[in-house]
Amino acid sequence: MTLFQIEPDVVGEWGDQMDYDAHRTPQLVGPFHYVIDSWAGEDLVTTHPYFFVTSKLADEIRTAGLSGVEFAPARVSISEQGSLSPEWGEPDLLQLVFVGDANSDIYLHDRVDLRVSARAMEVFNRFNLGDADVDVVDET
Amino acid sequence: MLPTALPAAAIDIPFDPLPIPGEDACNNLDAPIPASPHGFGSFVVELDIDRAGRSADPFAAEHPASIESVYGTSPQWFTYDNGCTGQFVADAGTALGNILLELSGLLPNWSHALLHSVLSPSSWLIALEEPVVNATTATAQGVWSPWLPIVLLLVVVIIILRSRAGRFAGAATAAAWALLVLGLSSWLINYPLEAVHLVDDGVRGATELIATSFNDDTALPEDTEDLGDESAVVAVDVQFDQIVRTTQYRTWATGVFGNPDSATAGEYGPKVFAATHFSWEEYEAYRDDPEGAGAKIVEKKSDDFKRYAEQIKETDALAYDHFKGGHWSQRVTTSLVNFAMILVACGFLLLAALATLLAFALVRLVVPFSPALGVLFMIDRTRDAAVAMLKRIAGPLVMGPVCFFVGLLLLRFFAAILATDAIWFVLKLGLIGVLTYVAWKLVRPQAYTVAPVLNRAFAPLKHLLSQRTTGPSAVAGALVPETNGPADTTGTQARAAAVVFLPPIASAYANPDAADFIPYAPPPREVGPGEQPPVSPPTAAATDPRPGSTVEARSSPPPGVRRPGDPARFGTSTRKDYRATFDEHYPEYHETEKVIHHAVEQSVLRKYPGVVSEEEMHSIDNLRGIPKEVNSDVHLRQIRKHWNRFYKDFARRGATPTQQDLLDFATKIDQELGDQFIPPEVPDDTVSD
Repeated sequence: MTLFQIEPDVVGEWGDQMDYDAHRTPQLVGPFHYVIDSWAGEDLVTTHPYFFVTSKLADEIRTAGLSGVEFAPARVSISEQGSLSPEWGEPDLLQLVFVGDANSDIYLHDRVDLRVSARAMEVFNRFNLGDADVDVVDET
Repeated sequence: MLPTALPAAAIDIPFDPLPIPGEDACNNLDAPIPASPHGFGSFVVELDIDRAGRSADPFAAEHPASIESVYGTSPQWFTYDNGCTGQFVADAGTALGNILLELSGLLPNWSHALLHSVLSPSSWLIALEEPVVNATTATAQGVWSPWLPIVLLLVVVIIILRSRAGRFAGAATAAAWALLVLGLSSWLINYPLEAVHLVDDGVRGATELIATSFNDDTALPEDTEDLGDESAVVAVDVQFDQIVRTTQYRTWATGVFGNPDSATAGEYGPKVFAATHFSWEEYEAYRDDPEGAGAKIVEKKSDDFKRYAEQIKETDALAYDHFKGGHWSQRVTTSLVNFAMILVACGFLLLAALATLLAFALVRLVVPFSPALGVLFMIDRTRDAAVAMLKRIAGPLVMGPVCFFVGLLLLRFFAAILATDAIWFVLKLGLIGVLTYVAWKLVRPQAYTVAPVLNRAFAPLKHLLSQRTTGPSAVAGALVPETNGPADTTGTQARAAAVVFLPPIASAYANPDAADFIPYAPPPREVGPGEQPPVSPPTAAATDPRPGSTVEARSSPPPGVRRPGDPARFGTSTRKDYRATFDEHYPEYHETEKVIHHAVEQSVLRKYPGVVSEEEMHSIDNLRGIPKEVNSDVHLRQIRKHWNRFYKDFARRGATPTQQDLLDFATKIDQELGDQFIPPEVPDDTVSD
């Protein structure tokens, strides 16, 4: 089965406005705070260990019935030194919550890598992935 | 037909405390030995509060004295008249209840004792005043006086040099600091006690204000104005008394009479309490002369006890049943509930009082050091170290009084809640719990008192637990929670929004092969046409200061600060405004439009807590400038992507990077992308060539 490993762009860093404790399980409670340095309309972005999609892409994932993820709200702000192009406006991001396994269309491989099925890749390819690195993974 | 049993009170049995030969020969009909006000383990502290005389009756109308100031805070139950066999079980159950009463009595007593140390004009802290004066004088003579002229000379030289270089802001800053430090240190040296008392008086004044602002005629007695310096002490005593009465005494009365609100408990409670407990004064008398005055006190209490026992037996059979201690399970249960109540009510107060006392002690410690610190504060280069030193104690210094005021407010609220009859007991407990929780969250007194000690003490245990809970198999299991499989579209979404799944970042020790792990390194950057190739990594020798290096012409980091091109490292910074730190150290780039980036990213503070401190994170050594003209967005994204791979690499193996791992990786990024930074990350030898 052909799978795709996607490494999206990292467009910013962790913010302070979230309930995160590395010593707790779960470490993150509630929405993640993503402080964006710059955004050029990418529909899939990351900052380890989280992945985010725009609500546009989230709708498409739901419509296509892709399995393995749900969506959680994310808090987005622009860093003090950052600037947004008026062309793109402020990103409307949702966090990917992985609820499936390796048989799902979208899942987390080895705890850190985003892997998607060919069907899911088709959907992703219709969106702006920026400079995301996409590798083909052949899992038989 | 005659009834087969009659109510106990209706049976006319003459009370005879003497054992009846035969069946009562082994009965426990001796009056209990009065309990010490110090409690079982002599842990209860006697406070020098004497508002109505030491022999005042704390149970008299208007409560002229607190129970604590007369009998301590650890009331004790007794057993009596349980028959030949019942006494052993009753004794065991009652002993358990007494242990709990003893433990719960310590919390209000210790909290009160700590607050009392802060508030009392005759506190033992006075003993520190002479050492404060002597030590301040000694430090002034040993450090301030001999070094002041040299340091002042240095300051003047710095001001002149900066003025010549056109750095007027820096010159003015140096002059302002010197003047400020000179004035403050001179004042502290000449008036060390006044400085200390300034804090003390502020705290005492605020205590009185808080107590009187809430005054409902019980917070402070009517004659408060006559108490002078003692009014803060009395205000706190009255409020702690309210807690002790409604928890400790009430629990004791429940165990003795079954119901603390019954008429029998109202009438005989204070009498039986006095007959079964030594007051501080009586205990002292007994200890001084156990065979004379002491024996008389015990004999009188014994007679009183037997008389009251007889009266209770005659008038209230149900209360007498509890009085004997047969209902020992009730004693254990009530003392357990009481312990929980006290823990909620006084846990915060105890730590807040500890934080306050710590702050008071620190003030006394800092004042003698002020002349030495003054010398360090004069010069920019040593000021950072002095500020870092001060910052370590600034938290406890500031938070001590803050905890104290919050503790006082809580105490006042608790006293009011416990005193009212309009609220159900469990609701009172709930209200107190909520208030305490909010206070914990707001002030976190443990962070300035016991937490650092406890964290260190329990670090091996936590480490061991994390090994067990975040091992490879556990981590793999955590990856596939019960949400595995087809998504539950009905309920999972709501849960997912509340608690978001995160792949755990485990400890390095969780992975057996972590030792062989080689972390991700950024690949060499492709060199474009006309672009200089990235420089080779600097050797350790390159970190040495090299006289005559041309790096001074390129940028002039102050001595002690990392030079561009050197391996990444951390310094210390006293402020979070890293842009200002960068501009201060590199004024030549002040006007350049740039993005300031942390070489080791800020998210490390939260991802791997404890690996890098905030002071290190924002230090100038960890800051890099990227000019906007070289497309800073693209550069920043490249850097962040490299870091993302680095984090993933560690997470994949369940490892946590060390500080050196982070610095090594930052060095590699500097080498690959730093030639575009300001100042450029080029080793000195490259520039010199």
